Amino acid sequence: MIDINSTGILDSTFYGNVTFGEVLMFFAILIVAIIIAKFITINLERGLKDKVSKNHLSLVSKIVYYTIILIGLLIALPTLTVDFSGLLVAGGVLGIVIGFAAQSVVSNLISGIFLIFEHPIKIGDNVLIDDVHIIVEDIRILSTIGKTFDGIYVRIPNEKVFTTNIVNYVANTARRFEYDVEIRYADDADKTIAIIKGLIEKEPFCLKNPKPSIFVDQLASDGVMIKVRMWAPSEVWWDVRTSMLWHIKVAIEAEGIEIPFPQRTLWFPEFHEKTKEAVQNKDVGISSRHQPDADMRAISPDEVLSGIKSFTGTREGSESGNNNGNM
Amino acid sequence: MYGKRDIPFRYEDDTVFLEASEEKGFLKYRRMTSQGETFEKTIVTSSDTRLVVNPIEPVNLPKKVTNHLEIEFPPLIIAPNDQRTIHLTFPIEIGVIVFGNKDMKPVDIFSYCPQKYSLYGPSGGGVITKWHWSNIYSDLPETDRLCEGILNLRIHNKTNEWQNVSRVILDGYAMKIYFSDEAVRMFARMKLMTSTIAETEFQSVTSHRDVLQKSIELYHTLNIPKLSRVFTMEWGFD
Repeated sequence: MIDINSTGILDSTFYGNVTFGEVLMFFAILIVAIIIAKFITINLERGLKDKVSKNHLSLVSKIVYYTIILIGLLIALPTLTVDFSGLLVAGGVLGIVIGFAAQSVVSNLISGIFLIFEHPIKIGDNVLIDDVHIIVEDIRILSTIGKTFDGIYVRIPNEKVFTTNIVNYVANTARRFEYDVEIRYADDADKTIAIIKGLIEKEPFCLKNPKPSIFVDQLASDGVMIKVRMWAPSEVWWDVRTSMLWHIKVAIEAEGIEIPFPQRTLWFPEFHEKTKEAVQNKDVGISSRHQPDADMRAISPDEVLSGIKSFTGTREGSESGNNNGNM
Repeated sequence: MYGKRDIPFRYEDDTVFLEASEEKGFLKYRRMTSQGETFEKTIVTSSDTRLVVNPIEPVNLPKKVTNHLEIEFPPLIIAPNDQRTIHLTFPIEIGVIVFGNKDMKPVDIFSYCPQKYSLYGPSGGGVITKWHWSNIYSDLPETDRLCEGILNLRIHNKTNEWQNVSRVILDGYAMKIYFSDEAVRMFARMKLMTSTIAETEFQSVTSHRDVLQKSIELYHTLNIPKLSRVFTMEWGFD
């Protein structure tokens, strides 16, 4: 039978002058510090959730957590009675090794601290970091956590966040967006602008100031291009942007203004000659043979239509004549 | 419409129908408008419950994006070191608030007025405001107390120059709204400190207590801390 004297084990030496009891005490103090830190931060977050912004709450919570852990460590260390001076040489060598190995970790750590205090991004912001478009969910000591619009988890090391370009889409209070609305040349651009202005006036989140800007931007190939620029609060920018374009389309179409289809003027030199002949001789035939030397004059839609009408009229006349003859 | 209401409660006018009644063991609140919009909410409570219908801080609809109210008015010029009280109108949002177990909660917020927002200051650093246009009145104007209230604004030019004033920005957190049988009222003060900076603050009413009844302050009921009673207009008032 083995008699285990627990006091004896605790008094036995772990290394140097440090006993197992002192090591246990060290870890016990650390565990208690972690429990206290967790308890305090959880209650702090619960208590301040409605009163402090998520970003500031996260920062305060982390500071409190790590401060308590640090205090716990400072209380626990004397129990080890470590002769730190003896470790200086070994520590120096070890420090160099760890320094090389943990270079990126330290770099991320320092970047994280700078990010927390500079806060170019906040939790909940819609940002573009290193070509990754995310909504920021947490800014940790070593990395920034986000979620793409597809719901995919993204972790970006803080060093990259700190050194790369950041586009923050919601950092400013308001944001501008624009549409190109194209109408036919036959439609009234002033009337279209008035309709769009009325719509913007009715939409609560299209801001009164800065004023919206609506103007004829281009005389494009298919129609008149109207540029519509307006501002909305960053918070609801996307909702307004996705709804207004359709409202504009519906409103201008209700007033008989149409969005043009692509248009091209086609040149049919042979067709033109033949239709001209058909008009003159009351006889028509369309050749598919290309004649490069033919007169390449553009023909108007009216001319084409009259040519087609006379052509079909002649054909129908001759067909009906044939049919009558056959009967 | 305004005031404390016992349940069952029913109100109807040309544009809106409100009802709160017990249905199958639940308390049902219902709002219907003449445009065909219907809003319903079920309230679960075992205690004595009352409803309060009153004008609330007009910065909630159609969605809360700010707590500032901006009233723009025809430009006026005020003499150096002079002060004058003017009357403006402001938009009204009506809150239906349920009381029970020593707490309160807004059940419904609606408005008879069109909504519009604006930006005061630059896009980076400025504030979004609920925007309203008002004429200037020397005496109390006649208003529809369900749609527009009357702001009694005392403008004090503390500078040594003539100043142009055409807007006032008010902080919704410190807003104090009163109502009577005739009108909905607010009282505020605007101090022009320099040619670009002004301070605005709401004032409590000490007189006419028998006529004017104070509205429930919604943001206080939501336990949002009062940051400051004075709003500094640092991007001008012209």
